[in-house]
Amino acid sequence: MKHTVMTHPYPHLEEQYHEIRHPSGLTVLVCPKALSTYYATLGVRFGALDGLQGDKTPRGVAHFLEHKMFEGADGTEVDRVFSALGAEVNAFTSYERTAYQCSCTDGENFSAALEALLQMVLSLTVTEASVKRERRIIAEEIRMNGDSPYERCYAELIRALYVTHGVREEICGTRASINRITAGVLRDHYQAYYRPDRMMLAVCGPVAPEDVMAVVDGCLSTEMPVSHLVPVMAMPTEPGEVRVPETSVTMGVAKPLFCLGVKDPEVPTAPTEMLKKDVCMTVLCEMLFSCSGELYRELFEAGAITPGWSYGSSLGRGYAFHAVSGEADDPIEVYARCKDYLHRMRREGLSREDFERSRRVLYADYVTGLDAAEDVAESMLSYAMDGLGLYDLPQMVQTVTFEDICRLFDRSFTDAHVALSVVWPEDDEPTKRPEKEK
Amino acid sequence: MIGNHIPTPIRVGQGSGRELLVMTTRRFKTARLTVTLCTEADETQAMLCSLVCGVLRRGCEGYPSLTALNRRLDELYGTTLTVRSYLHGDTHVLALTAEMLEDCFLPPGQGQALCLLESVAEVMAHMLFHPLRDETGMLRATAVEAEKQAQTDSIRAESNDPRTYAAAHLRQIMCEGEPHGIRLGGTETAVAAVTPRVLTEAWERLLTRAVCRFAYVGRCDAPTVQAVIDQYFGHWTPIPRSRPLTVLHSAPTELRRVEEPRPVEQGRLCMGWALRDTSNAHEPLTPKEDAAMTVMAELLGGMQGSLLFRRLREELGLCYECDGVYDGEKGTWTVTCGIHPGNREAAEAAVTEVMNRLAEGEIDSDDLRMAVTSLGNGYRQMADSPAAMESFWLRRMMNGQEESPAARWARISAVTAEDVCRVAGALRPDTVYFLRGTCPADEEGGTEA
Repeated sequence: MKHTVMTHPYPHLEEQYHEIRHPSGLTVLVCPKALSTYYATLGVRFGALDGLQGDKTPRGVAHFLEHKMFEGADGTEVDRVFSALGAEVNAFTSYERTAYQCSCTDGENFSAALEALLQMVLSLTVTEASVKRERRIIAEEIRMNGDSPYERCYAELIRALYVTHGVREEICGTRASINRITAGVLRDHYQAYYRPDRMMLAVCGPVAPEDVMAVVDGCLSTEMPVSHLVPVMAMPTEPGEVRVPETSVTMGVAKPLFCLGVKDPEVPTAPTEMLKKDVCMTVLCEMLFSCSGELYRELFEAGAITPGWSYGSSLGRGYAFHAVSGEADDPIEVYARCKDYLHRMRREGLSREDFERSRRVLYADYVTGLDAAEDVAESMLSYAMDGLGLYDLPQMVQTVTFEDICRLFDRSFTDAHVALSVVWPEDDEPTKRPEKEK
Repeated sequence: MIGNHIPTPIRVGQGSGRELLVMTTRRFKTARLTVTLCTEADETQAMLCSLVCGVLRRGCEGYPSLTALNRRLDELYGTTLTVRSYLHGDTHVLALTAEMLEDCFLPPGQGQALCLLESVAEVMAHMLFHPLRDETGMLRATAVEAEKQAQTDSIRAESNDPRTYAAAHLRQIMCEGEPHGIRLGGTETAVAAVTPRVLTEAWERLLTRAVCRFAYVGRCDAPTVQAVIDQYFGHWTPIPRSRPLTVLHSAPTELRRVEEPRPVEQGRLCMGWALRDTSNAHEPLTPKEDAAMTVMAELLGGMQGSLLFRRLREELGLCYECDGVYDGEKGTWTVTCGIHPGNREAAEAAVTEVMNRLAEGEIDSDDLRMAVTSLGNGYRQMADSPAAMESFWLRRMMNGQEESPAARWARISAVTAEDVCRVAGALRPDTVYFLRGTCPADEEGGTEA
């Protein structure tokens, strides 16, 4: 079958990739690269925010379905098929999508591994018995996550920032919600969401587009499947302000952990606007919270925080926020200092020098991500699912202005948008803690 | 062919006390420069090195604060500079690593103005040789005190993450009294006793007595890299020393059982074995044993659908993850998994059953082939990672070996089922450590949506 190939070049970085739309609706992206690794990732537009019953869908369906895709038609796990080919297979679920990956270093077997990946995702075998067994495994995964104070601190922050948006729920669901997931629920969601026109395949490695398309042609029909089940995109009404400004839990930690978040209620939907927003948020986050910045210097030199400190921004369907986390003897004091710093920045203005430096860091992060087959494939997929190209970001980094960043800061970094999550040690004085959320 | 794309390092300055390994490759858009300082693992010295790492990052001449140092790295297009302290067998390693963009991939017009390798080497040299000192010539007391507090916090936080805590604790229990069993950050008491003089002397001792190596992966050729190293590190003349030696671990005569309660829901089961016991402790690990253990580890706990994963997770539903690690320096094999506390005996029995079946010769030829193939993948993928290439060669040098990836692969691919079963049978149970979760595990999950 002959396909129309659109090529996207980026000469300065010695990169290019190809984009092909298969008649079944599947979009295929191929980035030939002189590496040893062949890496393929197949993304499905079905994530933790999605469900046939809107916000009444049991939490964790997308993640549960991801687990079940690894069961073969005869009830055995399909990873043996990949192992026999010398390939690895894995998957992850995010809020907006589920993605399945395979990788190997044997060119002769890559086509077979890619075919196995497509066949795995294009068919579902599930019984109540296998659902019951998987429920126990997922329960252990939920316990493992719940035992991590760092994961818990972050999860509670999101719950403090958001009132109704699904991002406040755990991707894995809860032990109660997964008890409501049956084989029938999984089959219905599979039928509605696991369609080629809701999928994208990204491949990177020493591979040619025509070889990838030969495999795709062999696995997919040229007609789009029909389903009577209509995917529902839940878009709850989310207020601009945070749900609660402070929240806390108690766990077996040595020193209090904290996560401070800033909610941004303005979330565009058009792809280019989303990219601009993403770049602006990333640059602003770097300017305000990086270890090169004034805030970190003040806190670090005062001994108010331990050296470990992480920060970042998240932008997705209907949600956007910045988060910074660390450890401190007095997280309430750190919170107050952070707010003072943000107030000061509003009065004095941001630094143009910090802006230029942060742009360099963002550019470097992007270029570094073009070295590994896995990173390239996952980025291609992620950008394409957002309606963007892999090489759009560096151009946007050059286009964004200091004034854009200042406007974003002025609009979003207000007290009504800030929240704090703390994990207190079990034996810590209760008077230090913020009032627990009701 | 394994190893085709992995450059063999050009070695410069062998025996000089300051050896340089250069791996020139055009595969990547980034370059990497590392300097390692190796000493025999000793808890006091390791603790002091961890403190030194932190003090060096707080500023130096030219960049008199952490902020100034970080801003300089940002200006160098987001160059990252990490200082790590880790164990390689009975050797303690302090490694300073910089990762930077290649000049030709900077934004148009910037590549000619900047030579990142030189600029980064300058920063590294300042950090290593010119930390900030007070008027007595000692490392600044304020920096030392701040790092002591940070290290104390870090020691206390070790138990925050049950997964990493349990794995580290198993190592410490198994190798108690050996250099490999040390706590890298030391103890709170030891840290509290450190003074600026003690730390300064430890840092100076490290610079003169450690076995030092530089490793570079990137587009520059050996003469270019050597010129940069000579320019910024040429004055440094550590006394050439023989490399620290690692002694194989011996299993005790009786299995050790240790249980520790923690306020978490999930339990962590950690089991350790050793290839040697007191009867053959003096016998070094043979290349054949090492190759067979590498394959066994992949078969049991490394590859996709490993035997332990299949049995404990897929068949018995006892865990979400089950990991196995082979330490070729110490001759040990460890298994860790997260389980419901009530399933401890079932999980331990399942692991033991899998190990025993292998030792008794039950090995599926397809499984063996998959394990070897999976290892082959790993070797080929090394060519796609500057960090993996650097790590492979530095470890070889630390062990006094010059075996290439291709040669090592040849040994591994020759391993037979009998070899694997033989080493599995030679393993001696050493320790079972159980981190018992004491928080009630809600079976039904409550009524929340």
